[in-house]
Amino acid sequence: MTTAALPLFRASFKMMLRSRGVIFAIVTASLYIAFFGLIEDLDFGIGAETIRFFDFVLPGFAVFLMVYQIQDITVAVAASFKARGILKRLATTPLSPARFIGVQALTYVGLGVAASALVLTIGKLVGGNLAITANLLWLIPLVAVIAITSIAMGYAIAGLTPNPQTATNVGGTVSFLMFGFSGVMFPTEALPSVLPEIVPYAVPHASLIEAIRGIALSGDSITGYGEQVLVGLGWLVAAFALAALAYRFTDE
Amino acid sequence: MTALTGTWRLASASTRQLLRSSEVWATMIAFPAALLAILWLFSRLRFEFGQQAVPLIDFWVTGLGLLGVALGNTHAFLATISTWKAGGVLKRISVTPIGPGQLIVGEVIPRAILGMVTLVAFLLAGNALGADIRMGAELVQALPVMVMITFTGLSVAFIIAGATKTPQNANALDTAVAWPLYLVTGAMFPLAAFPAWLQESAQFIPYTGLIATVRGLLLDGRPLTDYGSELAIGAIWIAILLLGATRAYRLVK
Repeated sequence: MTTAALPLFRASFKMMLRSRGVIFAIVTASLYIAFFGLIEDLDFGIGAETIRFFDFVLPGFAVFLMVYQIQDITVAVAASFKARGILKRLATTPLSPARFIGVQALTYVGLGVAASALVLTIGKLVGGNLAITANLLWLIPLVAVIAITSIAMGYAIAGLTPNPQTATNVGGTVSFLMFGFSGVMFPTEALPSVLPEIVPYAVPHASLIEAIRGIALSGDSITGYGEQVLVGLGWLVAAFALAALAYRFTDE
Repeated sequence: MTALTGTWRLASASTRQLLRSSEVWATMIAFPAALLAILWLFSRLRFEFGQQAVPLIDFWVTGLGLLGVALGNTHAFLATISTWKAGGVLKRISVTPIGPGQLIVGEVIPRAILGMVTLVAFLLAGNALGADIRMGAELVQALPVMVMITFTGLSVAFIIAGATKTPQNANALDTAVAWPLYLVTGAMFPLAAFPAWLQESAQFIPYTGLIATVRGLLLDGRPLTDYGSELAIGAIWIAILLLGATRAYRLVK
């Protein structure tokens, strides 16, 4: 990180720690998983197959609940900057949109990773069947990629919508659809026709959540998920490019 | 202008404002449509608990969908009335011939109608997409229960708006109140999958009995009379919440 970006990172970090939304996000994600731990007898059924509900949702929820909240916060903050004319003022500084978005994303990555680790730990404590192996450390970069992708998507949404209210509504709808189709909550193999083959490529986070689930539940090595990692990185690049294009400092 | 005419004109103006609001479109159209799309595509999926199995689409259309639409309506209504309070709108209105009470009734009526129309449309769309919901006399019996669900939400909105100082705080408190409801009312997950103590205590939470009643009517074809205790608990909650609303949301604030 350059010396020019460091003060911005410090300021963003302080603002993040002061945010009630961040505290709320961590608490709600933890409570959700603790609540799921109370479930005694619930499975998903697909045809003749049965999947234990809690084991299936734990890895995806640990990542997505936090990331969802971070994206929500990003959309609100970025849209508010745009509406209040802060971007036009930033345009007169040496700071570029890509660097601005990059610093903001980095600020929240550590939070996303730490919160996901906390939620997974709670999940394990309340009965989740996690495979405790050294491979779990691979979740750190994978969660970080998901968090940065989400933050970039938040900026893209704020840039493409005319006002904060619309941005919040569009952001909420996009997150909800991702929640449904990224494999966080439902097994994508239950989708009809060719969709189970398409979804890992077409839905952001879906491929990485598949990798996270395999590593967390089965202790798989990251090497078995090369394609999923590549797809996740592809989405990261695409989201960042879209954010840098859509979120311009000249906007009001 | 009589009080009735004034209230009617306010209700008409509120309806037009409602239809222009992007928040209403998001909570009443976008969210239900996204949920239905998800459920339709996952219609092979079912919840299995104990010796029972229920298709996800049936369970969520009559639970999560119903509660989500009701709470979405509550959320949008809360944004309006907390802004009135923060902006001193009621105080200004109180010096005009239109009373604050008329203003509130004029806002509540369109919200309640919109909420009901959306709930029925959601159930019809869910049925068309494959949910095994009874849409005949059972739906007519479910209408008063859905009215109770709608008014429970609107009463909660008044209490939250009255208890908070800014629209931002109201929004945060509403979110904090809403998310546990999705979990513990049986809207998302069958209560039978949880420990007995949770199943029993959940019966006394607002919405739990009302959702169970709507499910019983629309999925199992049971008569409304089977749900006396659930409806009584729902009615008691509405009475308590309405009382709380009148105390918390003072018109002159």
